[in-house]
Amino acid sequence: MPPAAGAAALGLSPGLLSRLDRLSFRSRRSVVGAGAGQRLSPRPGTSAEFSDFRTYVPGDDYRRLDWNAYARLDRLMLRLYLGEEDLSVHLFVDTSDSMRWGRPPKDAATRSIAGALAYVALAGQDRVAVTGFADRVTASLRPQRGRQSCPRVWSTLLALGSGAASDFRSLQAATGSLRPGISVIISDFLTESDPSPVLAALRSAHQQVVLLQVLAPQEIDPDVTGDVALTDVETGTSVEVTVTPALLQGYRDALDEHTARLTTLARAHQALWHRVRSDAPVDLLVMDTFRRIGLLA
Amino acid sequence: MSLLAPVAAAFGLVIPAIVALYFLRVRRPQVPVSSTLLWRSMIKDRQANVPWQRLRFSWLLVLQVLAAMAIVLALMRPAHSAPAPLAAHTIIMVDASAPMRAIDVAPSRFAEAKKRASQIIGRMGAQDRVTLMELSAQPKVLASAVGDRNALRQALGRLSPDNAPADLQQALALAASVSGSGTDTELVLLSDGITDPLQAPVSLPFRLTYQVVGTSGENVAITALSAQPGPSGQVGFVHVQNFGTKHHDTTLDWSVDGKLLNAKALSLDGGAGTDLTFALPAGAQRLAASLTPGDTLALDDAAWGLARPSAGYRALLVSPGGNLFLQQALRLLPGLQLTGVTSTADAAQPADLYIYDRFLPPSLPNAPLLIVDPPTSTVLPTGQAFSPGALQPAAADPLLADLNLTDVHVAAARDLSHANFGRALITSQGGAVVLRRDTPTRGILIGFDLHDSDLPLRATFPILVDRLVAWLLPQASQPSYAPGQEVPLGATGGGLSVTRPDGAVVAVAADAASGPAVFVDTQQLGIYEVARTVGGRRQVLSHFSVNTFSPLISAIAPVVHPNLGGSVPAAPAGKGRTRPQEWWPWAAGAALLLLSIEWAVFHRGL
Repeated sequence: MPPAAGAAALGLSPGLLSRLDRLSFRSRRSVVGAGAGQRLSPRPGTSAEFSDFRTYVPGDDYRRLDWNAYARLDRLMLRLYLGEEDLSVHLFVDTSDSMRWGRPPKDAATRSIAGALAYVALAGQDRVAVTGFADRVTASLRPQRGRQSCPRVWSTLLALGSGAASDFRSLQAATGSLRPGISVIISDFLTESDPSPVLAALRSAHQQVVLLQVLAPQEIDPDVTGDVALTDVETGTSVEVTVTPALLQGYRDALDEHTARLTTLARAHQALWHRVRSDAPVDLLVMDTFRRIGLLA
Repeated sequence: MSLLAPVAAAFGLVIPAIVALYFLRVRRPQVPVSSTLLWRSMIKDRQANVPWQRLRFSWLLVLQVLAAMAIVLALMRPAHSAPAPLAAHTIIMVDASAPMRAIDVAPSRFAEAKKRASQIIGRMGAQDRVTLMELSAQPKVLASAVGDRNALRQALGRLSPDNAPADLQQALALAASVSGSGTDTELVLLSDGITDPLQAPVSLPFRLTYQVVGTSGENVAITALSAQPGPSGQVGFVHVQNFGTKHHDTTLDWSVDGKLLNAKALSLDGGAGTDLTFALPAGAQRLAASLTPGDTLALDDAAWGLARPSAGYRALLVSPGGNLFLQQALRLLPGLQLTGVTSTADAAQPADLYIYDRFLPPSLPNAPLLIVDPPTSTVLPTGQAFSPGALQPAAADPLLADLNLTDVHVAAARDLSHANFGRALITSQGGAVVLRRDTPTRGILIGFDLHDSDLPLRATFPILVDRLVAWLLPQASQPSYAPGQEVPLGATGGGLSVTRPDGAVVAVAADAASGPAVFVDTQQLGIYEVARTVGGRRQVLSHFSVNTFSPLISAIAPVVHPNLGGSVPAAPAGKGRTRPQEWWPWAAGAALLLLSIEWAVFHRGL
């Protein structure tokens, strides 16, 4: 797929891409990357930013000896500098059936957001990995690096398969081999599956976790009325309700409670949480919202 | 408590039906949603309609069942027995006759009766119906079976007393006709009980409660006023009667043509009366008398009358062939100005008495008539001549009292069986030979030529003529009519009008086809003037007066029980009467309240 076609399929215009070039992921801590990048690494490196001193031991690069310190202390001290390493961005995209629901569908918004975030990362010489999940891992793309990887990443996003119901346990295995970095989980989080274990696993894997909840407008403010049987597109189960204004208000209250639980959960795992409407323009999200919440800079 | 419509309990089947609806699955449209996660927590209390699941508690179900129970209860019309001040259908009959104008009860008996009627109306229950009737000379229904107090009070406000006695017989018959088929009907009669005596026992299909209005029977009244011929002209005659039981002093003022002629102090014991005569001046026409000061009933404290013209009666004898016998007999009568004509062209002269001898005009005038041997015509068809034989009175008649007709012979007489003039006065073996009529004007028809009889030669003849003329022309003053009585005007044709005592002119329509005109608007007391206007010229035809002159008006002592012939027992008013007091509106209101709560609960999701 040509790069322009992939971007267009994801709703990313050339203008937006040019503006995304100026963005980068904001990491709340220094990262230890797998290669040279634009992020400061806790490992001593060759950047100009001083980190520490240590006693010289044979084998060290004598070019890093601090002769000024030797003159003052009469000891050979080695200057240590922070290294600049790349960032690994892991995109976990919910591909369950519920994500195809809504006007506009949530999966379209999800792919657009993931595509934009992937572009920001790849353009910043960071690594991007993509994992689609539902009740299982439906797709997986190994970490990619460089702007030239954008078409591949976008193609992967566009070709994400679908699963039945969301189950965060399916991500448990995928978190084991992650490089330290940022993990972005994009889902509607309307599932009984508890994301706590996977959040804990990601935290253990030195991931800065970002939870993006994508909801359709009809999920935030339902437009059903009267006596209806609501059918879950994931499970096929129905519940019969008589929708009244009071019931709708109760639904909104339940949604607020659900959101509050997710927020609390995210805070407990030092994760970033934010709700996104599926009808929100992706350029507004990326250029404004994600910068405002501290995901991008 | 009782149920007036227990069959409506069948509607109670709707209650298990409502409960069943909570068991039955409702066919609902399928609406896909991304997740039912959030909905499931909301519908825990609303899934009682899953088939055959245990019925869960639901406020909606409770409220709906309670509302259904309240509605069914309302349909069953629950009621309890409660004291009822009025019958289900109360007929209030307010006496508006002349005696009710008496002021022995302040401000008047009539006002008191209306006040009581209004109080009865005020005691009406929500389901009571009241019929308002006027008891008068012509009873009327003012409001029929009305449950609206305002409408009844408006009808009561329009009621006014008249000047005539009450016709209780007709009023009771009218009340019986409007009473309907309901069993709980009561007639409340608000009256002083002064009415015409009932001519037949009245059977009423309802209970009668009679409330006497009035306390006193003290009243002095003028009960007669007339002009009589006297030795030296006409004499006014007045009778004043004390209908009370106490002594009364009063003054009688007597006036002629608007000028006070005399005043005389009277002292009357209870129940006593006195006759007074006054010489009338020549040319007197309108007479009036009044009592001062007034008393309880002012209506009968004044009276009006008419005197005869001083010239006496005018009689026109039309006899183309001449009739010496008749002419001589008539000339002997005092006070009769006889004009004899032989030309039929002069037959239309105004007269008080028309005498046609072997002559008939194209139409008979509306005046007293004496017709002798008329030629057959469409006006008065007569048959073939026959020999009547011996004459005899057809019936005991004052006109023929002590007259000997056995020696009277008639050679030939006309058959009067088709004349349609009146009843027989003198008859024979071959049929009636003399007829008399009383209406529309008095008349005598003699069916034979006096020249064919020896009657004029008998001593009976001048006596008979005198009696007939006296009967045809009463020597009393012009008649006085009772208020509301129909007055025959004795005239036909257009242009007739009557001027009432208050000066109002009432046009009277009368033509030859409908007969002589009759005037019915005679409620006012006083002198009425009948006139005809032809070509812009107004000609006064006659006068008549309207006076109370009746004990049914002036004897105002309240009658404790009206004369009902003993057919209807008077029942005590409202004692022990109970009636089912329905309270279905409360049940209906409760149902409405429950449904409102159910609506609120449904929308607020309780």
